[in-house]
Amino acid sequence: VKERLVEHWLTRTNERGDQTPFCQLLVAQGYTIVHVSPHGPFEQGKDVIAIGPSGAPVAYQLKAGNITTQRWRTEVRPEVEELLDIPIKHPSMAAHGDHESWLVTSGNLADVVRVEIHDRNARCVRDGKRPLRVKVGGELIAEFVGAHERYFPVDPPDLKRFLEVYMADGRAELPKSEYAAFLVSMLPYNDPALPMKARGQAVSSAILLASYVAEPYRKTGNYWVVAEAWLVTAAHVLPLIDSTGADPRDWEQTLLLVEAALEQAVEQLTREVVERQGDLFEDGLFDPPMYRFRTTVLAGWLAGGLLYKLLKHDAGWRDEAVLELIERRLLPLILWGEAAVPSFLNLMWCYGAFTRTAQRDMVLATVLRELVQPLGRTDEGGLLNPYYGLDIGVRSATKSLRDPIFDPGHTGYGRG
Amino acid sequence: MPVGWTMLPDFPEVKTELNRKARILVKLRTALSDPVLRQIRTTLQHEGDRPTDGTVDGQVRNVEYRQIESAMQFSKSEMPDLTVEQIFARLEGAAQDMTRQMAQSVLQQISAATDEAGTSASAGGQPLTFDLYLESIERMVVEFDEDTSQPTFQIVVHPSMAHRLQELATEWQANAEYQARYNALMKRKYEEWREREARRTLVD
Repeated sequence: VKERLVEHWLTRTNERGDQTPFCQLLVAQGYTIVHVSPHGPFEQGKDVIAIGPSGAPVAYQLKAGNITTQRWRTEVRPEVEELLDIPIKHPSMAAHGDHESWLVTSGNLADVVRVEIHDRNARCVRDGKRPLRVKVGGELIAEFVGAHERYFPVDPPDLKRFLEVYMADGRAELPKSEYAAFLVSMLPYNDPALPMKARGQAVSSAILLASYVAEPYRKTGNYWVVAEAWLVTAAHVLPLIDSTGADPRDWEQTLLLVEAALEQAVEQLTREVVERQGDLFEDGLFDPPMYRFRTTVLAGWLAGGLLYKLLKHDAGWRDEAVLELIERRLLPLILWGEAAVPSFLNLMWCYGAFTRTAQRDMVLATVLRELVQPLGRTDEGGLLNPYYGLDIGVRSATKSLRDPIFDPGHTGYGRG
Repeated sequence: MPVGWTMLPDFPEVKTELNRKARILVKLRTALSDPVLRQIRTTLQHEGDRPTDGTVDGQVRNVEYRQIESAMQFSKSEMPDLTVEQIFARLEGAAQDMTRQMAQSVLQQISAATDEAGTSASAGGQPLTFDLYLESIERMVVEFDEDTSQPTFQIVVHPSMAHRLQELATEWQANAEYQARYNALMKRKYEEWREREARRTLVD
């Protein structure tokens, strides 16, 4: 099952989708990731730059699928030439240093390509240069399978739960509670005697499984859910790391990978909605009642993305276009339940960062009013408590609930 | 997902359920809300593109399908705040509009068929009289219930006429002469029906 599932995922993803798990694979093998390319013009054939366990710099060009002769000549060979010929340029590495070059593909090489690389490598060795090293789909599958160790779900209930999340509709919401339940079942929270190495393997496996889970959403361009998948993963991995009492720097590589995946998803989401803000939502018969729910969460992610950049001291954090988009297209937000409060807080903090104090105070007042108003009421009204997610909020608003809501009118904040 | 739209999480399951409810609503409204339509047996045509119908005297004719449609409009500005209840209310309005169209179409077809068969009677814009009522029944092929021997025809009038017809019916029932003429006619119609039934070729 493990091999089949990894193969299923690997044959469906592309170089963007397998970048994070590939990096996690390297981390698990003792590599230090130095740079992950955002696939821009300055990539110079290097999707991933790492330092190997021996301290040698290594650069990788990642490809998805088979490399045919035509693809090799038009797309891959020029990038491989840059990979081989242009030295790694990175502040943490010695300038003009030699590096190992890898072409990694989830598919196979056409015979003509294989022979050409072989002949080229022979010339490189003769000329005292480093050859191009190649890793193909079969080897990758074996390495991914090996990296899961014993943390791949094999018990039927866990495997069923994982497969249900993995096979979910890429257009829909992430089934967060099912995914969270799966992570809780697979991560060894209750084994204090577990060696550090085994914890590392569990975390590594969780990161790889998160990549599989995110794949159907990434493929449909559902970046909001890709970000959610990484956020849920981080929320479950962090307590395990924390429980080790180890130096957080020991886990830095893994956490940075998760953060980078999350950041990339939010950036892709932001770029897409800014570019297509006139066509944010479809106009099907039942799209309107869901509109405010979606704009509320979207505004939360966009504002959160700006705040993230601010906290990272990113010079471009003050993106007026994003705030304008929120104001023109997404407001007013709807506080459909306490789970929507983070969206309001993100927007409030964002207004604060942009020194728009009147708007900031108005958002805060809205949240407080909605939270406080139901407290004195005895009817069934009021906010959904924070354990009810967006899906329940939408079902409640559209009279499509499958089960009655328990204790809807008494907020968790109110009790606190 | 149509090309060109941003990919934000959707709620396909909820939408599927709501669409199913909407289809059921339209179906129920169109099938049940009209007193005439709800008595007509419907058949789903699985093959071919044209139906036929038959008359009591064995004529088979091709029938053209008529498209029944109704439009709902939502302005772009009202869309973000539309509730499910509002959408269903408009759907109900559209369903009623389609029901009206279907009922009108059925009555027009009946009118055309009776004109063609020579069984129609017109008051020529004048008030309905007992004589005209009797003449109408006279021209009809009247069927009777096998168990109760009661006539099975129905009188369909515009709602605005219903009250007046009730008054006339009370008036006519109280008139002994009218009752005698009516009973005599129905007796004759009953005999005609029995004769038709006796002549009817049984299938298998």
